[in-house]
Amino acid sequence: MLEGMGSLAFSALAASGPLVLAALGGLATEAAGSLSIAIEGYMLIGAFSAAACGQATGSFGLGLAAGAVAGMFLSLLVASAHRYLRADVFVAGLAANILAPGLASVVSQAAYRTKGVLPAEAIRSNPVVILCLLAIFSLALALLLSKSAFGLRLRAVGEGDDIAKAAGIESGRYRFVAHIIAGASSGFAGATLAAGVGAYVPGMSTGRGWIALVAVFLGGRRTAGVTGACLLFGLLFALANSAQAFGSQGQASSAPVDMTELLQALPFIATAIALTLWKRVERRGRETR
Amino acid sequence: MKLGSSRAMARLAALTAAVIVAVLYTFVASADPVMALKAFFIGPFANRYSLLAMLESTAPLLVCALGACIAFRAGAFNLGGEGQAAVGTLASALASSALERIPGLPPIACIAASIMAAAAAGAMLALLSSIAERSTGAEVMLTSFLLAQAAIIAADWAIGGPLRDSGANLLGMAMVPERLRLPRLAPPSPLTVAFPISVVFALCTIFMTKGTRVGMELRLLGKNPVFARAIGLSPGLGSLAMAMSGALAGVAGSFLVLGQAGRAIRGMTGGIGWNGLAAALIAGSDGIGALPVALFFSWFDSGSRQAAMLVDLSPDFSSILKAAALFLITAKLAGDESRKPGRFSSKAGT
Repeated sequence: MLEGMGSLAFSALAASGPLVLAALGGLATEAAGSLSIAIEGYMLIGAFSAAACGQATGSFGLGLAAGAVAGMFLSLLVASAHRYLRADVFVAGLAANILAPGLASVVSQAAYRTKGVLPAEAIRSNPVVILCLLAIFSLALALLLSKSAFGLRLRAVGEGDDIAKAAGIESGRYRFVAHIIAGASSGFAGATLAAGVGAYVPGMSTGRGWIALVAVFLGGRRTAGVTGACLLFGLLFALANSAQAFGSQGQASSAPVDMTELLQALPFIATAIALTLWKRVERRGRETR
Repeated sequence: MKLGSSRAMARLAALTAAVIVAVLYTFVASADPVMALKAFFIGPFANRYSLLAMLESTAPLLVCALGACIAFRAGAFNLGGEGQAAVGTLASALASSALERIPGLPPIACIAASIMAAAAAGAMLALLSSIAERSTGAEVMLTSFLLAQAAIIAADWAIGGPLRDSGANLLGMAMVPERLRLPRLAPPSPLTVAFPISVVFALCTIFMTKGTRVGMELRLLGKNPVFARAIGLSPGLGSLAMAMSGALAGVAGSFLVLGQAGRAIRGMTGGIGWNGLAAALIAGSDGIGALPVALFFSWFDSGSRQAAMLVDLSPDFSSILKAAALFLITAKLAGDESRKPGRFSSKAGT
């Protein structure tokens, strides 16, 4: 029993690790006043690049780095369209989300003659190592956002261009950097997904980028809150997974319908409910004030 | 009028740029670029069959895009089109299999009921987000996606699990009998009445947005929700737009089931919700541009598939083209801003 609790706690941490890093990247863009909805796309392209590069070089480190770089490149596209072509950040983000799976499929077909699963044993690694890396990067990013002068200026930019201007900050440049940070951190988070299973699977981000965005809102746009929300969502994913494993163990007997796959929907429903309830509490709080 | 034509030009420019991307890529990546380009550009139009097949696949995309247009018009970011279409496929297949057992029911009534069941399922899923926003302020953009994701998992589970036709190799439900599917217009091509119906939907959407009171009110709501509330527009208006948006996505799912496939198959929506959203963003929210953009997208799909058969190219190539067009569509080139009052106007600054 105790052992079960321990392993559940660990798998909850393992599931929340990538969420935390991606959500902090999303927080950077939200703090700068232009939330990026492309986190999902960054994670996916990060996962693919990590698998492809890791397999090509045989190196775990290079694979993960490639994931971050790929996410960064995709975010460079979004940030440039936003800054230099004054494209709407929502539309550009949506474009990135549509581009990522297509790009992965086309490159995979061209280089590996498959558009399906891309095995990458070279980057499969110990979940503890992955978790430690994620924790270090998340902590660094959280400190950068909440404690550094850069983070303060970023939030000034988010307060509005006039305020930023009054403080002598060129907001366009800060917003640009915020998007690049989001790309790199989500790309790395995606890379760890591929490293966790030692393969790239099409669509393997399965909505995690969006859940990270919900965490940004639920966490009250603060690093600690966002991290807490991600830990909660990680626990949900872990519960759904372990319930599924448990269910299919006891399945052999006579259950007429296998319901376990349905459990994968739980994190999404619970996230939607959590967001709705939180908004309700928030609104009540405002009204009584 | 001048304004309208310059916006149409901007859309055409974005789509053309996407095609240029296609040409460039083929030259870089393909061993036989001439063959690949021929397949991409000429393949879809080369014969009657592939041309009509392209029109047929335009239909679900177009209705999805129209749904997205209506939601955008009202300022609601419905990102759940994919899931709304998925529940549409499930509802349509279930309704058809229930109704086929009723003797004496005319096929046309059965088909209509099946499409309406899909519309209702999609509308209900979309309404949930709208209700959540109205009662607590939870962002539609997030809840619509989350609920849709859950719905996709549930629909996939149902279609590939308890409702699966165990005799078939595919993870899909039993075939809908031929007479209860959408009537074919030009056999042996897959063209069904879905395409003309979707064009009628497009005309209705344009009429609604441009010529009716509700359309004007939706636009007001989208432009300035505070003002809309101040002048006493019903708060249910946004929910109505969301419901219509979800219903149209559901209809798209139904077209997939009752069209060429003839059954609900796991994962058959294949990104149609996102593509519809992208098409709507390129087309603009009044619905006028939806048909041409949907045709363009359908051509991208069909051309990529044709090229993929001949040379080593992934058919997912078309999503790169769609993304390229989308990246460029809201781009405001220098000095352009005064002429283009963008719907997504960003903060004034610099």
